[in-house]
Amino acid sequence: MNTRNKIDDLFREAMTGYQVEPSIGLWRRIERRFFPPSKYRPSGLITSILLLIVAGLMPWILIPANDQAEKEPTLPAGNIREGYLIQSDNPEQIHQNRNYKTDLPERTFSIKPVVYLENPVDPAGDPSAQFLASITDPSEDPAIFPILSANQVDYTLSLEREPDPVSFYADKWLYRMPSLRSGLMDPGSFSTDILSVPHISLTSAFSPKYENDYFRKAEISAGINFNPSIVFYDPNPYNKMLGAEAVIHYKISAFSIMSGIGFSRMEDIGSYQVNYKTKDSVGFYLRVVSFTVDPRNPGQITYVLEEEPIYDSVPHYIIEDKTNYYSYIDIPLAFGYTFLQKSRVSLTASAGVKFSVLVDKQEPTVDFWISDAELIDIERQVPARMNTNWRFIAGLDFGYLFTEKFSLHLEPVFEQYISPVYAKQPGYKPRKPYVTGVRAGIRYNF
Amino acid sequence: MLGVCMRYCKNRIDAEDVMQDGFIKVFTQIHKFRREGSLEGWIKRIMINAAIDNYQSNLKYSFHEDVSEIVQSAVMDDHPDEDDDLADELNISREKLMEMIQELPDGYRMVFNLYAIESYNHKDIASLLGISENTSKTQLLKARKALRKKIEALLQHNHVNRVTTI
Repeated sequence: MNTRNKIDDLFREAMTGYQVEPSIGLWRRIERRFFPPSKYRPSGLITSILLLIVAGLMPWILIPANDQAEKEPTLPAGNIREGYLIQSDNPEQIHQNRNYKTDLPERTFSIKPVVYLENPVDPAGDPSAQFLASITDPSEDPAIFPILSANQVDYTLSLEREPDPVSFYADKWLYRMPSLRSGLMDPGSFSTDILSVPHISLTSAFSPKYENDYFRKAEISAGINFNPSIVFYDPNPYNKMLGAEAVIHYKISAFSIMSGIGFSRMEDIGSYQVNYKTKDSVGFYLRVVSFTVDPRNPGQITYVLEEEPIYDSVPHYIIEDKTNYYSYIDIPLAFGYTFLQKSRVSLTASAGVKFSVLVDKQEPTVDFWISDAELIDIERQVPARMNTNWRFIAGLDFGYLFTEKFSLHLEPVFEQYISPVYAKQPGYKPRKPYVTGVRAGIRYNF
Repeated sequence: MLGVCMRYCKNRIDAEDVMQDGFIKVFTQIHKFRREGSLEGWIKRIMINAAIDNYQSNLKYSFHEDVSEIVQSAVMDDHPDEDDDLADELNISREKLMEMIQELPDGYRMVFNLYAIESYNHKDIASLLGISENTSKTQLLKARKALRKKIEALLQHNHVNRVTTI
């Protein structure tokens, strides 16, 4: 138990519950120390990888299952022949009729060139009596009538008339023709001139792996993109970058070239070392208050000493971080290769460079907030920014054509600074940050 | 808690450093809080420990220990009645008292705080600060003497008619 002392009591009572309001800077420092900004954020990298994977899977996600039949066909065994496929637009309503007496309501047809097996392994039905088509009135059909006219010998025309008291056109016409397979016509059976359908070669029938009529038309396109990114500095932590750009794409076959102009604004941490000094107690000396000489022993002197604190100007420093903003004009130039183009979707890998010119910078000044200290100077820790930069850029663009002219694009991008982002400063290693982000935009296909 | 830290430091800047370190410990060690006492008391102990760590890490001068000085100081401090008279008529602000504590040399300040305000005994103080019990006692007496001197100087400055002898 402590011995009771009035001095102790005085201070104990005064100091009990004595509160002092901490400065704002203290809470900020505590927050920073407890939640230090990480210079490496795995989630950003993982997000970029996931976006790449999702973009790669999008074509298979969006394309309906029945479109899988459009994949590269395999050449069947046997003799391949060129011919024409004549199909009704309503095939489910057409029925084979060996007795030529079936009443069929359909009357519209489509004819297109195809290749087919001369001797199919499993021919459907009787090749000598394959049904071709039906029509209510041959004179009304621009496609079937010339066939009939040019190949009368090969056709059997029969008219099965159903009683219709109102109109003669309710009567049904049924045409038959010999073919090797249902719906296929040997080109020797009729004249292609009369059919006036484009000729298709065997090679072209099989060579396109992933045909897409939409994309085949889009050779020049212009678009605008929004580009949020994360810049990974070293040693500074990551920071945000937002950009927008207008670009033009020129496409030749599967290859394309892209360029344009953009604007980007990025953040960076500006670290400053604030040097200041305060009057601190650095020790004490012993002051002689009094002394006494023992009369019985003159050689013995007893001193009464007191400690006196010694104050001196002691230098200190703190590190203050500010968020700086830099604005750039960007000029990208990239080359792409579309390795997947199917239905309405496309997947294009691209790589190139981006040239950036610094057009504006905002670097807030440091506020010296310590009132009872003397400011010595403020040293900038992060070097100044370079006015120009070169970056390597690469991306994987997923495109979705939602109309014949407009397409949406989502492209995870990676950028690596080729030239240092900071100016040279003694003792400071040149830094070349990298960037991960997403380029999202819309494109008009001329 | 900044008030606690300021008592153990020579100025506000150091106190904020200590409080910063203390809060980091609070955040990282909060799972060790057993609810055997109040949270406030637990945090206060952490702040005191942070102050002790800070003191020991910045220790420039070791305690000056001299037996003759201990005896001398003990003799000089042996006037509790004077303390009674002095304290009874005082009307000094808390801020001024805080300044007096902060102006004490580091060793005095640490021991005085731990003994007089936190009610630690000399054995515990010696263990905490890594000093002997005698040194702790010496520092306490010197601290009291220094504080008494400061109070008297303040009273004289305020033209209080009082004659004291230390």
